[in-house]
Amino acid sequence: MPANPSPKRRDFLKTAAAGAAGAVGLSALKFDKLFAQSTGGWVNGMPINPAIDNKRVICCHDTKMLTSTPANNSFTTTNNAVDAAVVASNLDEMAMQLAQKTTAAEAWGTIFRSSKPWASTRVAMKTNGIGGTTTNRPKWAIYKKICDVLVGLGVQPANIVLFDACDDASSYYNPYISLTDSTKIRAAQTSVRAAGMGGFAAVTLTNATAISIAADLNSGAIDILVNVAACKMHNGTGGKYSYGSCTLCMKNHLGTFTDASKAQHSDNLHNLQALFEINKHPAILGGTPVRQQLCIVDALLSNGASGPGGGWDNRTDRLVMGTFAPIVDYLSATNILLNSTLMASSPIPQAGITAAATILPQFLTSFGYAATDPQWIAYEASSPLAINPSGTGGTSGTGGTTGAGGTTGSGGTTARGGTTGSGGTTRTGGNTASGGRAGGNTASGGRAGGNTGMGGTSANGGTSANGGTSASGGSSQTDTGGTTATVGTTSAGGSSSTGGTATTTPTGGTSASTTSVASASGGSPITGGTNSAASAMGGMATSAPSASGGSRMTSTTAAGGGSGSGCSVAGGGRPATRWGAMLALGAMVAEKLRRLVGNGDHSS
Amino acid sequence: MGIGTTRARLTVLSLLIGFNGLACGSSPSSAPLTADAFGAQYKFADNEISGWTQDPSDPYSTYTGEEYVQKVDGAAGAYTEKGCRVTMYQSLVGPDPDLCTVLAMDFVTDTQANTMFTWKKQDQNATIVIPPYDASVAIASSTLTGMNVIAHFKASYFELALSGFGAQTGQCTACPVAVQFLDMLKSKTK
Repeated sequence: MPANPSPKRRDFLKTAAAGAAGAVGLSALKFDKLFAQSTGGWVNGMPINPAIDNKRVICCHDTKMLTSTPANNSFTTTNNAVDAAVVASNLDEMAMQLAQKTTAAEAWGTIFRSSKPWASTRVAMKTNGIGGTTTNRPKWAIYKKICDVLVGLGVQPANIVLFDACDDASSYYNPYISLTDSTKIRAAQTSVRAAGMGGFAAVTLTNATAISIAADLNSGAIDILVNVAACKMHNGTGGKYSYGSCTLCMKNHLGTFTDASKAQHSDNLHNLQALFEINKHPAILGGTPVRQQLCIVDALLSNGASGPGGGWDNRTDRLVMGTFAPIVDYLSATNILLNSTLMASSPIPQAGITAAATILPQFLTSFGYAATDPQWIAYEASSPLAINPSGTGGTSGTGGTTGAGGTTGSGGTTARGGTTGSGGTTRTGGNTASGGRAGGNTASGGRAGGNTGMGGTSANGGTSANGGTSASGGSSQTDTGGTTATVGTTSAGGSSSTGGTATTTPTGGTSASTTSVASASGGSPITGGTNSAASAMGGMATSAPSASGGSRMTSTTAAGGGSGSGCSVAGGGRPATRWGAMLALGAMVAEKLRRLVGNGDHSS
Repeated sequence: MGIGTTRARLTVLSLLIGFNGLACGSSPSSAPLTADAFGAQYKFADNEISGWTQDPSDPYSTYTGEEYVQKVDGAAGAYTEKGCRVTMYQSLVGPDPDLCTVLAMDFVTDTQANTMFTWKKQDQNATIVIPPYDASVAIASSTLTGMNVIAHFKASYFELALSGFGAQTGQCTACPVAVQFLDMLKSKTK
């Protein structure tokens, strides 16, 4: 793995890049979004990892992860039934699915980032010490695999620690831990509560009083936080199912934060608003890069009727992985814990199901997301989904440097091509299309182009592309306009345009529109309607015919893609102006610089 | 039989009466037992039920009131808000691979113990009857490895988590073991 560049070099490049960007009018804010994640905790819309969409959650189903149904609930019996090699292999594949990388090494190198050299990077891995030996808790094989990955990156085993600052988990995990034995979890001995994490530090919260936290997380001495939670029902205070009827990654941090005055208590934190507050806290989502970089739900065995201190009562044979805990939890709860078929052995009580209906959506809305945002990407281990190597835009989007836009699509800041398919190889972001989500089989055109970029809902992605909401892209993404077509009213393709009904032929592309210019769209350089192509795409549209999306100004290849722009900078959607071109140019400059920085830089 | 013997018998009798009055899980007028004393009342000695011994990896423990939070965190509220005063936790290992965790809780009054039982029975949708116990006294729900039993005797409320028996979808293979534990807990409840 490449070593991280020194902070000084990175800072220099950032400064230089900022200057160049500023020269073309790129705002510092947007620049920050592209290059860094200096955060003091959660802010709505903030990307946890610029290369991975917060909303993307992977679920792998594989009955081979357990060699047999454990005969009883004991921690030892349960862990002995786990096939660690199969778990490790599945975690590799899940990382690839999450990061949209074709190799596990690339995927893990995308997921884990540090501002320090790996050798001095410190990692904390949250576990759960609640209950007794029969309580369901994360399996050791998951920690072993993640530690193997981190050690492979260059992290020192002594700098990795498992912890639960509320309940001592050391008696469960220490038998599986060794600094040197590669058959075990390569880490320091499990922290006895916060003892291995610098002790406790007081924190002030709005929604809970007298709270402490593991000090090294609060100070930032821990660089990477990995959150592994067992998949369990939670009946909340008074049996009222107050926390969405589940205890997953977010609830797991009652144990990172604890009551200050009483050992082994976190009852002051047992209210929904406190749960959200601690999961926005800088100790969890602060840092540059963001500290909590990976969330895993161990759903090999799950608790339905048995509460958080109980033994597992269902075999669900699944692992769940994402970067953003609220969405990981929302999707794990709705797709696993509340799935009466999967949880048939011992379902969540009806009162819990009823309460979840109103509380779980708050997992999203409290973080600025809507119910339509989460992306549950589930697959059988025997048939993993195709990976689109150039990845996807991710939350930040874009087309940009990360390539979004690339084969999988993507595009703009918000968009992503991602999971819905959009953007597949031919689509969005792809050669012909542009931007965004669009592009996708269904979407196309859609949002693509990103919010700002082209293609907005009504618009079209780019010259050739198009697609507004209704539009285009359609089945054949490369065509614009698609059959029904047409592009949006305002953008490309313009009102008159595109593809329009007319077309059966592809617009877009160099050949562009079929019918007359007037009706055609996408295609021809100017496609379009009132806002001509040139303006439509953010960009220098110049060459137009195929352009779109983004920054890439010319051409046939356009949008979304690596040159990025796409979106956040490009501006489509809006009537274009010369500023659009300048922005796009700024993006290109930024991209070049980012690439310079990017090689070997895991921190941004 | 001499007077001394009679006095001795009376003394023993009065001590027994006095002890009985203190025993928890008992009437509301009893002096409350400490968590340790309550736990000692219900703790199973090794082989008190043949073949079942203390799990060395899961220590016996007792809790006062909300301290049960230390064991199960937020789940404690389901009990403490319904009147649980003290709790005993014990994990027992039986013939391989059988396990049984025992929770005994003092709810101070028979009514509160019954309320806890009724809520839990409904919440868990528990339907497995454990003869000879009536479903209003003890009931269970199946898990993939055995069953979770709830019961109440006087002011004491109990939960047993039995694993190692497989799912109780047909014949209740865990029921005979559950009965052994319930009989013993009932006998320990004065």
